[in-house]
Amino acid sequence: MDEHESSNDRVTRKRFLGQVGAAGVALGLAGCGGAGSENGATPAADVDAVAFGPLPPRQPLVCDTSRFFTDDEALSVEAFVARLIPGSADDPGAIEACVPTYIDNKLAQFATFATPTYFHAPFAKPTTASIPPDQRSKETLLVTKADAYRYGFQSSQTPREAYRAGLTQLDTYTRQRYGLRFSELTETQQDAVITLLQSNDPEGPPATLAQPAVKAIAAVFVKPSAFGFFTMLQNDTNEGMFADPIYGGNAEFAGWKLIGYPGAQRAWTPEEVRSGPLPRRVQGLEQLPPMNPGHPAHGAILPIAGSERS
Amino acid sequence: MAKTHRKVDVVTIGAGWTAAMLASRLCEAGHDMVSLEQGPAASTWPQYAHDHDSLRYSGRYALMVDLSRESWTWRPNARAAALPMRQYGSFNPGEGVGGAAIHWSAQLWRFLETDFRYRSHVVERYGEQKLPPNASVQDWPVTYDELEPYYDTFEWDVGASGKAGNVRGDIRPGGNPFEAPRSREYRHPPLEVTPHGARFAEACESLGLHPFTQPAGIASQAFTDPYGNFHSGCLYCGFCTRFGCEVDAKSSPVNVHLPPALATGRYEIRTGSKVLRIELGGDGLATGVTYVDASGEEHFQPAELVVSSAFTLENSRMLLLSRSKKHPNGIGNDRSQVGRNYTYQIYPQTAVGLWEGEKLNMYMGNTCTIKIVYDYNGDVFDHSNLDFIGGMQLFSEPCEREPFNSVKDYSTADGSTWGAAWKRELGRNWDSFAGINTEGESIAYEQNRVDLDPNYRDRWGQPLLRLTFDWTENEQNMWRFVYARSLEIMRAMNPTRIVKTQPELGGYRIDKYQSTHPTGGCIMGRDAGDSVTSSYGQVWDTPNVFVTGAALFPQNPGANPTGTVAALAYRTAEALRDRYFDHPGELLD
Repeated sequence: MDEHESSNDRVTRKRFLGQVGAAGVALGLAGCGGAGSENGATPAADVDAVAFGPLPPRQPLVCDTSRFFTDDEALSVEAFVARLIPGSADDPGAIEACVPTYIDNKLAQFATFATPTYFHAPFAKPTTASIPPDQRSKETLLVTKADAYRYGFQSSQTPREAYRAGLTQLDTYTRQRYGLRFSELTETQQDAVITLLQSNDPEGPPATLAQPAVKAIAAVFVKPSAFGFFTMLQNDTNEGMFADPIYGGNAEFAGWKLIGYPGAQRAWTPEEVRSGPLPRRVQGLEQLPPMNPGHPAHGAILPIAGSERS
Repeated sequence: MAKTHRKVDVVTIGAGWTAAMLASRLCEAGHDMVSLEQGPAASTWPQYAHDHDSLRYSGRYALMVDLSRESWTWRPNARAAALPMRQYGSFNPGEGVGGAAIHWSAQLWRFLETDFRYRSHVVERYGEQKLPPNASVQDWPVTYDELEPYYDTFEWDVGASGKAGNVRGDIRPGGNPFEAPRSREYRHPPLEVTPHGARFAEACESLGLHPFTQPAGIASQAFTDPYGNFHSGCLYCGFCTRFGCEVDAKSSPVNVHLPPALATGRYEIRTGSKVLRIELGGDGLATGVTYVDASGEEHFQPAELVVSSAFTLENSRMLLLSRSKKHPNGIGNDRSQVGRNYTYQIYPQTAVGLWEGEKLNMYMGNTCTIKIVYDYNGDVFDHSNLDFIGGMQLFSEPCEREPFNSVKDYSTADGSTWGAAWKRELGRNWDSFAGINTEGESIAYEQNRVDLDPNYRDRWGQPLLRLTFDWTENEQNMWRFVYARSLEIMRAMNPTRIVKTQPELGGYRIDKYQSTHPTGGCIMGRDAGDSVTSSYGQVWDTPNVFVTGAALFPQNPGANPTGTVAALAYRTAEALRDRYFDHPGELLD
């Protein structure tokens, strides 16, 4: 894709990517809920039903982003993830792997957080002033700015709020600098913006943090912070590209094929651990057979890796 | 009004591994016991039959304590603000039956002989002035020799895999030559090792070091344990740490000690039961525990004996939250001992290398399919001319690599972790890079401790535990020394390029995973003036309360705690079974 195409028509709300067998990206299923089968939605905890049942009918792969994002937000997210992991029809990247669908699913499914999160006040307020000893507060605790990263996630925003506010800040910044929305920039410009976001890494070199352009983007990204926004997008993009397809991304195992990962297997032989895998078909949780089908009793268990099954 | 249950001999806070160990011994001897577990039930089948879901278990921490209910706060020093660990970083306490021992990595160690007489050893070999400022290290009240039979029994109970390096003084090739003498070989031969581990071992040998395979609480071959449980041999599936084992190759309370304990009919586990505090009588002894069930109803479980067998940190909190007129500062805290000697472990990677064109099979195996050197751990090397005490293991990066959370560990030569060039290289190199890891000891200091937080509370309105902890000059110096040694190994491994290095340890940070080995806080010692408990975990000032687990460690060596936690629990279980109930409420000799 060249730079002249990087405008609104580059991405669409629903991208039809042709016929595939992976049913996990079917429209409208919960992110962690798993795949469609002939009997309807099947929870992930019940994959044996899918693995041993008939394969679902092939259907068009639809990368949907309408469960949480607005049209405008989806355009920005698609443009952003397309720069983190660029791709084309021959060499799938984040767009071709339906990474925006993964993110949209995740935000739609979890009203607050996908991971366990302690989300009670008081929240931290970074400061360069000296910290009073023995702080007591129900709302805010002051923390030394230079040490703030050592405490990890301390935001008072949920991911939904952080995406909404962060995407607005992103366009505010690019309008200030380029007079255009982020999704309307050339790829080179988009890369430059993403690099500036990342350059706000509080652990990065002080000289980088002191650069005027780095400070300028930080001034717009009040909440979420520039680096916090970048990190959220990068982590979610990597999850969408490289987690199991039942979560809505990694379409047609695009991410796993890229890196040569064969997917979840039941077993590797000692010889394979030492010398490398025998040829196996890439498989996801849907194709993984159960280990102890139906019996909790003692006795030798012969593993089936999954790929051997025709 | 709390619902009051029938009195039992023993009640435990939590149904993790030490509780299961006690139950397997006490219930068989005729005692009735109840464990109150805040999490859900667990079993190999059907729960772990479908668990190769990286995102759910590794990304979203399905087996860990639900942080939306409670967490831990941390500050680097007493002048800084303490903030909660809002999302998982530094450590991963488990919840549910079996506790963290369901998702453990099964790296199984015995501590070194010198670890048990830490202070005496340093002073004898180097003099008092060698101890860093404010160091509050002390000797254990139990020696290695006293624990050896319990280590041995536990290792054979779980079908441990490894190669002995020292059997009664006989140093054997292929094992750890620096380990303390053991009475016999391991039950099973070592696990397989991936190509990265093999290359690490080769490099170490070329430098005159002594590599060996990680001893594991994972059976390398199928076997039936002494309780009659059948275990398959390891299938090297690649989903081990943070996962339950679907074939019982990785040992856990669920597949070793719980079946015999439950078979007695005298052991009951109540899940969804959160203990609020230990109740105390007018005589200063415990009367039982108060807990809430999943519906929020309050219960009182009376017991002859209360065992605080929760995760390390929760044991300190339980003692501090349990107050009475006789113990106004909490159980075990009449002499301000609870919270002292909080220690942890040093864990980062020193360096990551890339071997272009080679496949390392990093997504197979588990955390134990690796090679290790002990040449720079503990005091096995001379510290006379060094500016620190203590040491670290060095080992090849653990396997079972999962794609979604590992791709960012790869960076291009110019440091990029995204974009077209990164993607192109990642495609070639995702299974061609790997690092050298550390596990370093954490000595105790006056300033590092735990207490109750003044600002943050859990779902039940009780204060969170507050950690005050940071690395000191001693650890920074130790890191620099071991870092330099690890680079010698990395260079001998001849990588295409070194992807990244960490030359400085830096300050402690709670946002990065660094082992689930917080220790101390309710330490054991010789008397009530230097500790919370005796060598049996019996609380000096409330002798019908016992503590189990790594909260008892006076300081933390550079090795995983489970082997020692188990040996101590076996020893305590034996003393309770054979002696305690003859004179309940009195201190054991």
